[in-house]
Amino acid sequence: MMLNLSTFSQTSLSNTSIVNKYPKSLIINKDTVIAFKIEQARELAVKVETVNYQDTIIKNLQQTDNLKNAIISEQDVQINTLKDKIKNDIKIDSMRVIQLSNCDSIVKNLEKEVKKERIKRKIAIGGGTTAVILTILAFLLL
Amino acid sequence: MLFSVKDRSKEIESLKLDRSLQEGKIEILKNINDDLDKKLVASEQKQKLLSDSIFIKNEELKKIKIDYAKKIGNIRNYNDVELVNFFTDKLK
Repeated sequence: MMLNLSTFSQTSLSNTSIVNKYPKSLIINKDTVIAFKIEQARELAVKVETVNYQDTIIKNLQQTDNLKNAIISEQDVQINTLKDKIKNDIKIDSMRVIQLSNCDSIVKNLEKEVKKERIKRKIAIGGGTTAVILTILAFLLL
Repeated sequence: MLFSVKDRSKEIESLKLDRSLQEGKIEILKNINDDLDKKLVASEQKQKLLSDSIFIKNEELKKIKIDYAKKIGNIRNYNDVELVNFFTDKLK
């Protein structure tokens, strides 16, 4: 706590009569005391209180500053988390594309198989029918 | 012809397996994202608490300023006894 006591010194302030006289040093019951006028004492009290007030304000602002820094850290955490999520979503998207292409390939292969099965069935039916006709013809000719 | 059908079946099986693997990987990534969502929620809640604390600090600051103005007003009207008490208190 820094108080500018020179304001009240006898040498520096010699303009007014009050300041000329006070503060001054007195010896009372062998104790050396500094005497102020009541106005000067009030001014000192105001200065003391102002310093206390400033200390309190500084403390409060430092605490607020720490809280704001903590918020910034949390926001950094959120930004990084969102970045990680986006990366994962991009990976998921690319995997979905691969899956879709896989599905397309599976469908194409299955379609080809179905076609072949149909041809096979047609051949089987055709073969069977031919065999029946040939058998009937053979019976008729014999 | 039979050989080519077998070959195709193998290819289909391989594609299905690949799809399952991709599905597994996607599931893992989804779980990671769920955890990240939880982390986000926790961080947002923490941020809310910090914001509330800042609001309280600002309110405190307003009160400090009002109290100071009142105190200074009182000090300017202190009599000798009150001044002695004031300095005695400050020198404790």
